[in-house]
Amino acid sequence: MWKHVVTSVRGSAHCINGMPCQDNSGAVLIGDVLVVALSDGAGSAKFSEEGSKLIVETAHEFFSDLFNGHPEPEGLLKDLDSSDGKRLLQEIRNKLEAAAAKKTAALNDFASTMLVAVIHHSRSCFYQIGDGIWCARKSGMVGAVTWPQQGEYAGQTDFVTTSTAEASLQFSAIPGKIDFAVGMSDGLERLALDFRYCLPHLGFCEPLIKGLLASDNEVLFKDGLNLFLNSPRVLDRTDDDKTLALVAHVGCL
Amino acid sequence: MPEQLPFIDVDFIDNPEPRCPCVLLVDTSGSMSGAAIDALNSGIQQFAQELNSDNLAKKRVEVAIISFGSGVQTIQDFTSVESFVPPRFEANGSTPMGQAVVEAFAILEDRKNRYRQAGIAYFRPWIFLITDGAPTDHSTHFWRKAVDLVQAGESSKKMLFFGIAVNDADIKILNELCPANRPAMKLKGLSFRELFSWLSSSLKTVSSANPGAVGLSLPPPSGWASIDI
Repeated sequence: MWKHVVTSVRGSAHCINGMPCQDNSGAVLIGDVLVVALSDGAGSAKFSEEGSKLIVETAHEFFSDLFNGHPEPEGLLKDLDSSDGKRLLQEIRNKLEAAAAKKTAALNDFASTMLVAVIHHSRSCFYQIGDGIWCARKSGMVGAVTWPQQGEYAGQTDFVTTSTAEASLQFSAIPGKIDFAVGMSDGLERLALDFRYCLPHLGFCEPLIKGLLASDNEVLFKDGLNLFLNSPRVLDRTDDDKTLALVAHVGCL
Repeated sequence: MPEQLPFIDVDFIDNPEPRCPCVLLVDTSGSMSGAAIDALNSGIQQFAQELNSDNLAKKRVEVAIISFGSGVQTIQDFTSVESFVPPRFEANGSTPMGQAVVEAFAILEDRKNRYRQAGIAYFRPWIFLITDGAPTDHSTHFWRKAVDLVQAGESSKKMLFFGIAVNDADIKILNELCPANRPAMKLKGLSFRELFSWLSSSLKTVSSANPGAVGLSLPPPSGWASIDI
């Protein structure tokens, strides 16, 4: 039994500049497999808001097609690896190409990152292209399962639209049942990740997971989370769009 | 609305700020003496003040200064704006400009290595050259190497190079060094204060860039440049 909340909120710089929230996110439950997808649209790309939305939708469709009606998800999950991430990337690029053709725009105008988690009690798999992170805890041990991909300079990263996207695809899997997983876009990185030692900051993740588990109303919890992500304390530290996904197994803490 | 549990318990980590290294290459040859060097000195004072008034820039911008006149001297190694004490230049000697540019690339490489070792992210470095003359090392290997470094650095987007011509500077020779898409700019009179004001606001823009957030455009150089760019 999983509890989850996934949210994207617009950054203050985007509000000031009249830009939309270019992050998108969402979760779907297919049988007992939870698929969470996040995407951060590049600020410099004209249609990245649409790009990030298409990425989230395509990830949901991709894994729905895979698991829907399948009697034994364990068997499928056991074999998931980076090749599925590559096939997902190809489907995403096909969708974005089609959207670009409709607008006579370029693929790069839809530049966005991709973060997907496929969570099941038998195995959990994480895919990522670009910056942001997935971290997880299992049997009390916490760590990053993906890490922000960064170019030489601050602010440079890969997107699903860049030629190096496939090469920079990150994949990792955790066998068995995880306690919790946290995913986020780069807007929260500098608050929640220890860049010196490449670790997720537990002081950030744990209170949120505890809060989610203690809450008996996920809608109210999400409202509180959105208020927190728009609070002065957070806005002091980041003016970018912020996406956060929290998934916890009931009774794990 | 006051923050509610459990959000009030969420703790943030302090990461080192990403850095924006900027090297000032300053011509302190004999011809700069008098009004020009005085104006340059007060311009640098103002540069430090303006960057210091910006919360992010003062943590992120790092300044180094190399003077070229009587020799090439790193008179200020990279330092944060917060602890930057503007020097007072004195003018004398020749114009070893090529050697100064080569030295700028050397200290930049060294700085970037240190950032990498410490896990500190950095923005694309800036090299800002100010001269009122022509290089006296034009026929040496230093000049050839300086031109190669700037061209290679610009085409691979390793750094941004700006050349500023003061008074009777030989702008044609300076443009051998400057990238074709960003030719040397001529300073209007001795408007160093306006020049440094522009540099500090440009560095503020660059250093406040939120990774992936908003496209950058620098403020126009009107007020100090006598030609349009």
